[in-house]
Amino acid sequence: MEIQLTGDQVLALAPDASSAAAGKKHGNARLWKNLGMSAEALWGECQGSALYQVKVELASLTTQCSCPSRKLPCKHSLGLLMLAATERSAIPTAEPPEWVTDWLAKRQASSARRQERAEKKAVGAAPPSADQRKTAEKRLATVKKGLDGLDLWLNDLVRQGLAGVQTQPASFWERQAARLRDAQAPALDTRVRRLAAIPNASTNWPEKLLAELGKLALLTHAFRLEDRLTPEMREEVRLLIGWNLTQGEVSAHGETLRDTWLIAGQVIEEAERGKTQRTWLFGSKSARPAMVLQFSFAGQPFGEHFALGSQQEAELTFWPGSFPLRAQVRARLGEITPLKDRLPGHENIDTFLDTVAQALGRQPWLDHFLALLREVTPACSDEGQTWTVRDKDGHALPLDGSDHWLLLALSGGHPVDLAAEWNGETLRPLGVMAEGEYTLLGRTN
Amino acid sequence: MDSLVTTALVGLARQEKVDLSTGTPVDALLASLPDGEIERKFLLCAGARAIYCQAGKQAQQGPHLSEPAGPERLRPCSPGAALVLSRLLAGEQTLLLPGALARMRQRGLRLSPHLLPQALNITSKETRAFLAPVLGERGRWLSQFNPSWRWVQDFLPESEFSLPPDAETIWQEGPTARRAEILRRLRAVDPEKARAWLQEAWKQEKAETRSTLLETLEVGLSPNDEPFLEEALDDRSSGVRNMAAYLLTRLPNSALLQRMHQRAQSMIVRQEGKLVVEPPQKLEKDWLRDGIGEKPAQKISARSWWLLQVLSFIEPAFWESHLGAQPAELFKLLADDPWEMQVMEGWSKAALSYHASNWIIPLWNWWRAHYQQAVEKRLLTDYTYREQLLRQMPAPIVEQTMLTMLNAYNGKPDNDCWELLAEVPRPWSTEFARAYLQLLRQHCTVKKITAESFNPYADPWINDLPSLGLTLPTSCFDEIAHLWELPDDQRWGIQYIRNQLNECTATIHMRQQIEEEII
Repeated sequence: MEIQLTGDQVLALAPDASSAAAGKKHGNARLWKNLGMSAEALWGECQGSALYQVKVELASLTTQCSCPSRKLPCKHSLGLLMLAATERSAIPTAEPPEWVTDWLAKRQASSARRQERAEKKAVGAAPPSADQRKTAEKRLATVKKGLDGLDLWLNDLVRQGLAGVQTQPASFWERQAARLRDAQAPALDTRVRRLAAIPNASTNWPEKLLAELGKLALLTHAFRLEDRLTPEMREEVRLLIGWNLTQGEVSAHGETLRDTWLIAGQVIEEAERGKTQRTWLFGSKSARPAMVLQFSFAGQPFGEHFALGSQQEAELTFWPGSFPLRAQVRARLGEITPLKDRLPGHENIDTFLDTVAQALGRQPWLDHFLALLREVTPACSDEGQTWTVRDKDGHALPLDGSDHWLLLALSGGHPVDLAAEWNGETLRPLGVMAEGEYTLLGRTN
Repeated sequence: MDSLVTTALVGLARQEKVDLSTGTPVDALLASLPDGEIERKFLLCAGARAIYCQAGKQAQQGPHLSEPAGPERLRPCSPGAALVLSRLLAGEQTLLLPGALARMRQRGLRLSPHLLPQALNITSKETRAFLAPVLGERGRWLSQFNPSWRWVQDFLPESEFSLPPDAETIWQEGPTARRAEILRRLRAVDPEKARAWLQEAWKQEKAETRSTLLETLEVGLSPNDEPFLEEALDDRSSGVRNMAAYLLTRLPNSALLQRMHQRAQSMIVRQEGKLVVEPPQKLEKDWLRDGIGEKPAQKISARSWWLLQVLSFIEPAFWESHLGAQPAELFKLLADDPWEMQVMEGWSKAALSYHASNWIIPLWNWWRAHYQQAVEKRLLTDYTYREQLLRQMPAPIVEQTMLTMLNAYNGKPDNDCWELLAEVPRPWSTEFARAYLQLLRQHCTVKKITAESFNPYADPWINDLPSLGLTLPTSCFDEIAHLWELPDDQRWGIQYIRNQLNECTATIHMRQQIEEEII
């Protein structure tokens, strides 16, 4: 396997800006010895405070280093990838040494074992035992009680008037969120917690808040009418309330799709007690978007690594539902190659918005969408305070925030292909294809 | 705000009748709402309406687009070069940034677009001058959108001596820095026209602007400029007078220079094998007019100040013919005069500003012998003549001189050869670098620097290690790696030496990458 990452793509793997800077510094052949690359792996030894052995599994970009750093990937691993990306000739093709083959063998064995075990557990346990049935019934009762409480709380809010929430402290929302967590409806907990950020944050906040409250009411309503829903919709509603599936359950029940996936970019958000990461992919043959959602609690590294801005043949398994979007990687099958020339996607903004409307028709609670827009021109006004992208027809959508200088620099006022995350109001740029090269956006590295 | 939102804000409790209709197809669903509380119905209705609106979201009318960036004239830099530059721009090894940018310019390269925001955010004035020529069309185009990037407009596009087509508009309306640049370029091709432009605008300009614009006459200066400059000597502003006087001294036969010569002659005469110095007791009006300041800026006497100013205006060759002696001899004749220090300072200023090459080395020798004395007496307006003189000496002589000083280094902390070492032109010659490293190894043997009693923090050789990364020539890079075999010791002292050495190698690595990538 050949490695075809660019320096930027390697830096996008860095867990923080200081690791990225240190990674750049370590991408210097003079600091390395016993370098080598084979079909599966990349390795080398780096002289730091001690001599560190660094190895990378190319298909999954899983790295391991003998240094004591908790960061993943660490600066040495980033340095090695950086070197491979920028100075490929410094790394000879070779047979991996024993310390690399041992690690690869161990990894493959354990990951195969894990998947097998998980699927067996999900499928094999055919009829649930009496105990399990009892637990499930008990949970259902708890959730129902929690939803009754939520409905009362919602009714009370509109009865008293939304104007009153302006003076409420954050704990007002947190209390209700906590009640939902206790009622074993964690997804609703997150939804309610998010409401706290709406009041007074924009001029049309009452409209936004009412919309979110209304959508919550629709969700509890849908749950109460569960029997009348399609099986897919029932799955979807249960997920939205908080019946999480394990990875094993997903891989046993979800639809698996093999395709060449474009890895368009990533959004990382602060969440309660950690970070949420959404990686956006797009199937080049199926033309389907997919989102890999990962959580990191208390600074732990994310488990799955993606070479943002490249494509790779892989099998993804989707969470079941009426509009399957969330997915997990089942197997990575091909080499990682950079995105080149053009992005697939919508020729104009109107057709993109139509797709969004259709998706909402199938899953009305969708919050985020992947937008791939071809030939749009970024523009700013008010000395860089207001930003939009404009299509060939003269239609435009606003960009969020005020720092899109890199996007503007790369376009030079010419049309570019943009990948972004759409939240119903603004686009958050993920990457841009300009002059045949893809550059990641919205990252601080 | 529509009725649903208003109702929600006020609260349903305060309304007699709640209207659930939204005027959208959502209203068709109202009939199927479950019986029960009005609040519940209201919320479901609001939810459905929200999703309806979200699905029906329409694009806004796009803004008017500004003209895109024009085609580039410079070559793009390689991805490797871009990576090196992104590190430099991010603040790593900042001392190497100007050199790397100058190298880009020499090779006709420009920064790749993704580096531009980072580059345009640089605030150092000195670095901006190096950045401007490598921003390319894209960089100039981009800078118009961000108010804090307007500095780019102060730098005219490349091609040194050509005038942009909108030169006259810039001259009429532009900021002072750009106007001066236009004038400077016009002087190079048509000095008469440039002076005419300046004369025409002269009366309306502020004093500060007058002096900045006047300075541009130095390009293509000729006797034709003298009448205008003589007029400028009557200016209200001392800054303008001073600039006019300076320019007039650069005209070999100007009336002002004649006047200065007379003043100088009256102050220094050769009598009985000695030079006798006698500055005037009071300042004449005509001295003032010729740009001689009355009150000293520093703590020196007014008479010293007048003497110093007159001397610094006069080309040193004048003294050789007038007093009939070579510089070294003149210094001897001056010895022990009460005004010796002031005259030497005036001559040093003049020699430096006129680049009088036959005076530089004699002056350096004199200052080497008298510098301590000057520092103790606090008689000077400037204490960096040695550094300035070294900068005008040919590199081999500077290296030889420094080597003599380094060889004489006896470990005393007050030895200031380390400060002067910074003036050796970079990169050092291989011979000088080898000799320096040899001395370094002699002074800092492994045995000595690993001893418990050794204090690396106070050792100039150790403290100077990081700057070796900037000064060593490529040919000596390998020697740094094999300087010492330091023991694997965690003592602070050893760690410090190791860190100093690492800093040096980090700089060297960066220099190697700059040389390999920016091509």
